Amino acid sequence: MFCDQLVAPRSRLEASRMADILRRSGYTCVGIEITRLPETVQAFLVKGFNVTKVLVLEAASEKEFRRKLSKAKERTPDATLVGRTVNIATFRAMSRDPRVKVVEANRRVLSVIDRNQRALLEAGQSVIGVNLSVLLRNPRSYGWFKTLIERIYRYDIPFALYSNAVSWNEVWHPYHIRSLFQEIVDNGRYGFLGLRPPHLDAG
Amino acid sequence: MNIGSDSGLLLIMLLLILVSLGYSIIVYQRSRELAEKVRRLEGLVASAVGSVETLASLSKKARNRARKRYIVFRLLSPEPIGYSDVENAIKAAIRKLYGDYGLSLSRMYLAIYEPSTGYGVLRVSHLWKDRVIIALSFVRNVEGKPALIIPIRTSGSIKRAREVILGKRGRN
Repeated sequence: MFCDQLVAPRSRLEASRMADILRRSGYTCVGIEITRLPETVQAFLVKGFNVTKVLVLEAASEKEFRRKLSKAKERTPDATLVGRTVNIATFRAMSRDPRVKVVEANRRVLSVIDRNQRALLEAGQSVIGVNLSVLLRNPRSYGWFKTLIERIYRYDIPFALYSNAVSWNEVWHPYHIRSLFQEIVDNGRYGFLGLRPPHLDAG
Repeated sequence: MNIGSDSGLLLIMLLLILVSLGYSIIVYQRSRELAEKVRRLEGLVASAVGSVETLASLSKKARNRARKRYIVFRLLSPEPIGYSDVENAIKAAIRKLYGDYGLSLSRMYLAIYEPSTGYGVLRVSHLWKDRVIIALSFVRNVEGKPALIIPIRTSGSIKRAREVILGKRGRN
Protein backbone atom coordinates (compact mmCIF):
# COMPACT_ATOMS: atom_id res chain seq x y z
CA MET A 1 0.00 0.00 0.00
CA PHE A 2 2.73 2.48 1.01
CA CYS A 3 6.25 2.77 -0.30
CA ASP A 4 9.36 4.06 1.42
CA GLN A 5 11.44 4.91 -1.62
CA LEU A 6 14.79 5.16 0.14
CA VAL A 7 16.15 3.30 3.13
CA ALA A 8 19.77 2.57 3.90
CA PRO A 9 19.92 0.05 6.78
CA ARG A 10 23.39 -0.15 8.25
CA SER A 11 23.29 -3.90 8.98
CA ARG A 12 21.31 -7.04 8.36
CA LEU A 13 19.84 -6.94 11.89
CA GLU A 14 18.70 -3.35 11.43
CA ALA A 15 17.18 -4.29 8.07
CA SER A 16 15.25 -7.15 9.65
CA ARG A 17 13.81 -4.94 12.40
CA MET A 18 13.09 -2.19 9.90
CA ALA A 19 11.24 -4.60 7.63
CA ASP A 20 9.16 -5.81 10.56
CA ILE A 21 8.11 -2.28 11.57
CA LEU A 22 7.50 -1.10 8.01
CA ARG A 23 5.36 -4.15 7.33
CA ARG A 24 3.26 -3.50 10.44
CA SER A 25 2.88 0.15 9.41
CA GLY A 26 1.38 -0.82 6.06
CA TYR A 27 4.37 -0.48 3.73
CA THR A 28 4.67 -3.00 0.91
CA CYS A 29 7.61 -1.67 -1.06
CA VAL A 30 11.01 -0.19 -0.28
CA GLY A 31 13.90 1.23 -2.20
CA ILE A 32 17.24 0.17 -0.77
CA GLU A 33 20.33 2.28 -1.22
CA ILE A 34 22.58 0.33 -3.56
CA THR A 35 25.67 0.22 -1.33
CA ARG A 36 23.64 -1.46 1.46
CA LEU A 37 21.89 -3.82 -0.92
CA PRO A 38 23.71 -7.19 -0.84
CA GLU A 39 23.45 -7.83 2.88
CA THR A 40 20.05 -6.29 3.62
CA VAL A 41 17.83 -7.19 0.68
CA GLN A 42 17.04 -10.67 2.00
CA ALA A 43 15.49 -9.27 5.20
CA PHE A 44 12.96 -7.33 3.12
CA LEU A 45 12.29 -10.11 0.62
CA VAL A 46 11.47 -12.53 3.46
CA LYS A 47 8.74 -10.14 4.64
CA GLY A 48 7.27 -9.99 1.13
CA PHE A 49 8.39 -6.49 0.15
CA ASN A 50 8.79 -5.30 -3.41
CA VAL A 51 12.39 -4.14 -3.43
CA THR A 52 13.95 -1.63 -5.79
CA LYS A 53 17.60 -0.62 -6.06
CA VAL A 54 18.24 3.05 -5.47
CA LEU A 55 21.37 4.96 -6.33
CA VAL A 56 21.87 8.37 -4.75
CA LEU A 57 23.68 10.69 -7.08
CA GLU A 58 25.28 13.67 -5.36
CA ALA A 59 26.72 16.41 -7.54
CA ALA A 60 27.94 19.93 -6.89
CA SER A 61 27.82 21.09 -10.52
CA GLU A 62 26.06 20.21 -13.76
CA LYS A 63 29.31 18.87 -15.25
CA GLU A 64 29.86 16.54 -12.32
CA PHE A 65 26.24 15.41 -12.56
CA ARG A 66 26.63 14.48 -16.27
CA ARG A 67 29.83 12.58 -15.58
CA LYS A 68 28.40 10.65 -12.63
CA LEU A 69 25.15 9.96 -14.44
CA SER A 70 26.79 8.31 -17.46
CA LYS A 71 28.98 6.25 -15.13
CA ALA A 72 26.00 5.19 -13.01
CA LYS A 73 23.95 4.19 -16.02
CA GLU A 74 26.78 1.98 -17.25
CA ARG A 75 27.30 0.21 -13.92
CA THR A 76 23.75 -0.09 -12.64
CA PRO A 77 21.29 0.43 -15.48
CA ASP A 78 18.27 -0.87 -13.54
CA ALA A 79 18.67 1.29 -10.40
CA THR A 80 16.32 4.16 -9.61
CA LEU A 81 18.31 7.37 -9.50
CA VAL A 82 17.84 9.92 -6.73
CA GLY A 83 19.53 13.25 -7.44
CA ARG A 84 20.88 15.32 -4.55
CA THR A 85 22.39 18.76 -4.95
CA VAL A 86 22.57 22.21 -3.38
CA ASN A 87 23.21 23.96 -6.69
CA ILE A 88 20.12 25.43 -8.35
CA ALA A 89 21.34 24.94 -11.95
CA THR A 90 22.19 21.30 -11.23
CA PHE A 91 18.84 20.86 -9.49
CA ARG A 92 17.05 22.05 -12.62
CA ALA A 93 19.20 19.88 -14.86
CA MET A 94 18.36 16.86 -12.71
CA SER A 95 14.67 17.74 -12.80
CA ARG A 96 14.44 17.76 -16.59
CA ASP A 97 16.56 14.64 -17.08
CA PRO A 98 14.31 11.60 -17.60
CA ARG A 99 16.93 9.22 -16.20
CA VAL A 100 16.71 10.78 -12.71
CA LYS A 101 13.44 9.66 -11.14
CA VAL A 102 13.58 11.57 -7.84
CA VAL A 103 15.18 14.97 -7.26
CA GLU A 104 15.73 15.69 -3.60
CA ALA A 105 14.70 19.13 -2.39
CA ASN A 106 16.60 20.99 0.29
CA ARG A 107 16.84 24.42 1.82
CA ARG A 108 19.07 25.87 -0.91
CA VAL A 109 16.68 25.04 -3.75
CA LEU A 110 13.50 26.03 -1.91
CA SER A 111 13.22 29.31 -3.82
CA VAL A 112 12.84 27.57 -7.19
CA ILE A 113 10.01 25.25 -6.17
CA ASP A 114 7.20 26.78 -8.22
CA ARG A 115 5.09 26.15 -11.32
CA ASN A 116 8.17 26.28 -13.60
CA GLN A 117 9.77 23.55 -11.52
CA ARG A 118 6.60 21.54 -11.94
CA ALA A 119 6.86 21.90 -15.72
CA LEU A 120 10.50 20.73 -15.59
CA LEU A 121 9.53 17.71 -13.50
CA GLU A 122 6.75 16.87 -15.93
CA ALA A 123 9.23 17.10 -18.83
CA GLY A 124 11.64 14.79 -17.04
CA GLN A 125 8.88 12.50 -15.66
CA SER A 126 10.43 12.79 -12.22
CA VAL A 127 9.22 13.81 -8.76
CA ILE A 128 10.48 16.02 -5.95
CA GLY A 129 12.01 13.97 -3.16
CA VAL A 130 11.37 14.93 0.46
CA ASN A 131 13.95 13.42 2.77
CA LEU A 132 12.33 13.04 6.20
CA SER A 133 15.58 12.13 7.95
CA VAL A 134 16.63 15.78 7.63
CA LEU A 135 13.87 16.65 10.10
CA LEU A 136 15.00 14.04 12.60
CA ARG A 137 18.66 14.96 12.45
CA ASN A 138 18.01 18.67 12.69
CA PRO A 139 14.59 19.68 14.08
CA ARG A 140 15.44 23.33 13.30
CA SER A 141 14.86 22.50 9.65
CA TYR A 142 11.12 22.28 10.42
CA GLY A 143 10.74 25.91 9.28
CA TRP A 144 11.93 25.50 5.70
CA PHE A 145 10.46 22.00 5.57
CA LYS A 146 7.05 23.55 6.25
CA THR A 147 7.56 26.06 3.43
CA LEU A 148 8.60 23.23 1.09
CA ILE A 149 5.43 21.26 1.84
CA GLU A 150 3.29 24.39 1.42
CA ARG A 151 4.84 25.06 -2.01
CA ILE A 152 4.43 21.45 -3.11
CA TYR A 153 0.77 21.65 -2.10
CA ARG A 154 0.17 25.06 -3.69
CA TYR A 155 1.66 24.18 -7.08
CA ASP A 156 0.48 20.54 -6.97
CA ILE A 157 4.00 19.24 -7.58
CA PRO A 158 4.42 15.44 -7.69
CA PHE A 159 6.50 14.36 -4.71
CA ALA A 160 7.88 11.33 -2.91
CA LEU A 161 8.45 11.05 0.83
CA TYR A 162 11.18 8.77 2.05
CA SER A 163 12.76 8.14 5.43
CA ASN A 164 16.39 7.49 4.35
CA ALA A 165 16.47 5.44 7.55
CA VAL A 166 19.76 3.96 8.70
CA SER A 167 18.36 2.22 11.78
CA TRP A 168 14.95 0.76 12.64
CA ASN A 169 13.95 3.70 14.86
CA GLU A 170 14.22 6.21 12.00
CA VAL A 171 11.30 4.97 9.94
CA TRP A 172 8.12 7.03 9.64
CA HIS A 173 4.65 5.70 10.33
CA PRO A 174 1.92 6.90 7.90
CA TYR A 175 0.05 8.35 10.89
CA HIS A 176 3.05 10.63 11.57
CA ILE A 177 2.97 11.81 7.98
CA ARG A 178 -0.77 12.40 8.07
CA SER A 179 -0.43 14.57 11.16
CA LEU A 180 2.49 16.46 9.61
CA PHE A 181 0.45 17.33 6.52
CA GLN A 182 -2.68 18.05 8.55
CA GLU A 183 -0.72 20.57 10.57
CA ILE A 184 1.07 22.20 7.62
CA VAL A 185 -1.49 22.25 4.79
CA ASP A 186 -4.66 21.20 6.63
CA ASN A 187 -5.00 18.11 4.43
CA GLY A 188 -3.57 15.06 6.13
CA ARG A 189 -4.40 12.56 3.41
CA TYR A 190 -2.42 14.57 0.84
CA GLY A 191 0.73 13.24 2.52
CA PHE A 192 -0.17 9.70 1.46
CA LEU A 193 0.41 10.75 -2.18
CA GLY A 194 4.09 10.91 -1.29
CA LEU A 195 4.08 7.32 -0.09
CA ARG A 196 2.69 5.87 -3.30
CA PRO A 197 4.76 3.26 -5.15
CA PRO A 198 6.93 4.91 -7.86
CA HIS A 199 5.06 3.48 -10.84
CA LEU A 200 1.99 5.48 -9.78
CA ASP A 201 3.90 8.75 -9.59
CA ALA A 202 4.76 9.09 -13.26
CA GLY A 203 2.73 11.84 -14.88
CA MET B 1 -97.99 71.05 26.16
CA ASN B 2 -94.64 72.55 25.21
CA ILE B 3 -93.33 72.09 28.73
CA GLY B 4 -94.22 68.34 28.58
CA SER B 5 -92.49 67.75 25.22
CA ASP B 6 -89.32 69.60 26.39
CA SER B 7 -89.05 67.52 29.56
CA GLY B 8 -89.48 64.30 27.49
CA LEU B 9 -86.68 65.37 25.20
CA LEU B 10 -84.48 66.21 28.17
CA LEU B 11 -85.18 62.83 29.70
CA ILE B 12 -84.23 61.08 26.48
CA MET B 13 -80.97 63.05 26.24
CA LEU B 14 -80.17 62.30 29.87
CA LEU B 15 -80.75 58.63 29.22
CA LEU B 16 -78.50 58.71 26.15
CA ILE B 17 -75.74 60.45 28.15
CA LEU B 18 -76.00 57.85 30.91
CA VAL B 19 -75.84 54.96 28.43
CA SER B 20 -72.80 56.39 26.65
CA LEU B 21 -71.08 57.03 30.01
CA GLY B 22 -71.68 53.43 31.09
CA TYR B 23 -70.43 52.11 27.78
CA SER B 24 -67.25 54.20 27.93
CA ILE B 25 -66.61 52.96 31.49
CA ILE B 26 -66.90 49.35 30.29
CA VAL B 27 -64.56 50.02 27.32
CA TYR B 28 -62.05 51.68 29.64
CA GLN B 29 -62.07 48.71 32.00
CA ARG B 30 -61.62 46.22 29.13
CA SER B 31 -58.75 48.21 27.65
CA ARG B 32 -57.00 48.30 31.04
CA GLU B 33 -57.38 44.53 31.35
CA LEU B 34 -55.98 44.07 27.84
CA ALA B 35 -53.05 46.40 28.57
CA GLU B 36 -52.28 44.37 31.69
CA LYS B 37 -52.32 41.15 29.67
CA VAL B 38 -50.01 42.63 26.99
CA ARG B 39 -47.58 43.77 29.69
CA ARG B 40 -47.51 40.25 31.18
CA LEU B 41 -46.93 38.75 27.72
CA GLU B 42 -44.07 41.16 27.09
CA GLY B 43 -42.45 40.06 30.35
CA LEU B 44 -42.72 36.41 29.34
CA VAL B 45 -41.20 37.05 25.88
CA ALA B 46 -38.33 39.05 27.39
CA SER B 47 -37.47 36.30 29.85
CA ALA B 48 -37.61 33.69 27.04
CA VAL B 49 -35.28 35.75 24.83
CA GLY B 50 -32.91 36.22 27.76
CA SER B 51 -32.71 32.49 28.40
CA VAL B 52 -32.11 31.82 24.68
CA GLU B 53 -29.23 34.32 24.70
CA THR B 54 -27.78 32.71 27.81
CA LEU B 55 -27.96 29.29 26.15
CA ALA B 56 -26.25 30.61 23.02
CA SER B 57 -23.43 32.15 25.03
CA LEU B 58 -23.05 28.92 27.01
CA SER B 59 -22.79 26.83 23.83
CA LYS B 60 -20.22 29.30 22.45
CA LYS B 61 -18.19 28.88 25.63
CA ALA B 62 -18.46 25.11 25.27
CA ARG B 63 -17.21 25.35 21.68
CA ASN B 64 -14.20 27.46 22.65
CA ARG B 65 -13.30 25.25 25.62
CA ALA B 66 -10.21 23.13 25.04
CA ARG B 67 -11.55 19.59 24.86
CA LYS B 68 -9.41 16.57 25.55
CA ARG B 69 -8.11 13.98 23.14
CA TYR B 70 -6.51 10.70 24.11
CA ILE B 71 -3.74 9.48 21.80
CA VAL B 72 -3.17 5.74 22.08
CA PHE B 73 0.41 4.87 21.17
CA ARG B 74 2.90 2.05 21.35
CA LEU B 75 6.51 2.58 22.24
CA LEU B 76 8.83 0.12 20.54
CA SER B 77 12.15 -0.42 22.24
CA PRO B 78 14.43 -3.42 22.78
CA GLU B 79 14.43 -2.76 26.54
CA PRO B 80 11.49 -1.76 28.77
CA ILE B 81 11.42 1.96 29.52
CA GLY B 82 9.92 3.54 32.66
CA TYR B 83 6.96 5.92 32.89
CA SER B 84 8.90 9.03 33.85
CA ASP B 85 11.51 8.49 31.13
CA VAL B 86 8.81 8.25 28.47
CA GLU B 87 7.00 11.32 29.81
CA ASN B 88 10.23 13.33 29.90
CA ALA B 89 11.16 12.27 26.36
CA ILE B 90 7.76 13.32 24.98
CA LYS B 91 7.88 16.62 26.88
CA ALA B 92 11.40 17.27 25.56
CA ALA B 93 10.24 16.62 21.98
CA ILE B 94 7.28 19.02 22.32
CA ARG B 95 9.54 21.61 23.93
CA LYS B 96 12.11 21.23 21.13
CA LEU B 97 9.50 21.91 18.44
CA TYR B 98 7.09 24.35 20.10
CA GLY B 99 8.89 25.66 23.18
CA ASP B 100 7.76 25.86 26.81
CA TYR B 101 4.70 27.90 25.88
CA GLY B 102 3.62 25.22 23.39
CA LEU B 103 4.15 22.53 26.00
CA SER B 104 1.85 24.33 28.42
CA LEU B 105 -0.80 24.97 25.74
CA SER B 106 -0.79 21.33 24.68
CA ARG B 107 -1.83 20.31 28.23
CA MET B 108 0.00 17.03 27.71
CA TYR B 109 -0.31 14.35 30.36
CA LEU B 110 0.73 10.71 30.14
CA ALA B 111 -2.48 9.13 31.41
CA ILE B 112 -1.58 5.44 30.97
CA TYR B 113 1.68 3.70 30.25
CA GLU B 114 2.48 0.01 30.52
CA PRO B 115 6.26 -0.57 30.42
CA SER B 116 5.84 -4.31 29.79
CA THR B 117 3.86 -3.93 26.54
CA GLY B 118 4.83 -0.38 25.59
CA TYR B 119 1.20 0.72 25.16
CA GLY B 120 0.26 4.11 26.51
CA VAL B 121 -2.34 6.87 26.37
CA LEU B 122 -1.44 10.52 26.12
CA ARG B 123 -4.01 13.15 27.04
CA VAL B 124 -3.74 16.43 25.10
CA SER B 125 -5.84 19.43 24.15
CA HIS B 126 -7.90 18.82 20.99
CA LEU B 127 -6.31 21.88 19.37
CA TRP B 128 -2.83 20.40 19.82
CA LYS B 129 -3.49 16.79 18.78
CA ASP B 130 -1.68 16.91 15.43
CA ARG B 131 1.23 18.92 16.79
CA VAL B 132 1.73 16.42 19.61
CA ILE B 133 1.67 13.52 17.12
CA ILE B 134 4.36 15.33 15.08
CA ALA B 135 6.36 15.74 18.28
CA LEU B 136 5.92 12.01 18.98
CA SER B 137 7.57 11.27 15.65
CA PHE B 138 10.65 13.13 16.89
CA VAL B 139 11.11 10.76 19.83
CA ARG B 140 13.70 8.32 18.48
CA ASN B 141 15.74 7.84 21.64
CA VAL B 142 14.66 7.60 25.27
CA GLU B 143 17.45 7.91 27.83
CA GLY B 144 19.99 6.88 25.21
CA LYS B 145 18.07 3.75 24.21
CA PRO B 146 16.69 3.56 20.67
CA ALA B 147 12.90 3.88 20.65
CA LEU B 148 10.05 4.57 18.28
CA ILE B 149 6.58 5.82 19.19
CA ILE B 150 3.82 4.66 16.87
CA PRO B 151 0.48 6.45 17.31
CA ILE B 152 -2.32 3.92 17.02
CA ARG B 153 -5.54 5.87 17.43
CA THR B 154 -6.98 9.10 18.79
CA SER B 155 -10.07 8.95 20.95
CA GLY B 156 -12.34 11.44 22.71
CA SER B 157 -12.67 9.44 25.92
CA ILE B 158 -10.25 7.53 28.09
CA LYS B 159 -12.70 4.64 28.25
CA ARG B 160 -12.48 4.12 24.49
CA ALA B 161 -8.69 4.52 24.61
CA ARG B 162 -8.51 1.76 27.25
CA GLU B 163 -10.68 -0.47 25.06
CA VAL B 164 -8.29 0.09 22.12
CA ILE B 165 -5.33 -0.99 24.28
CA LEU B 166 -7.23 -4.05 25.55
CA GLY B 167 -8.15 -5.01 21.98
CA LYS B 168 -4.58 -4.59 20.75
CA ARG B 169 -3.15 -6.52 23.71
CA GLY B 170 -5.63 -9.35 23.14
CA ARG B 171 -4.66 -9.56 19.48
CA ASN B 172 -0.94 -9.67 20.29
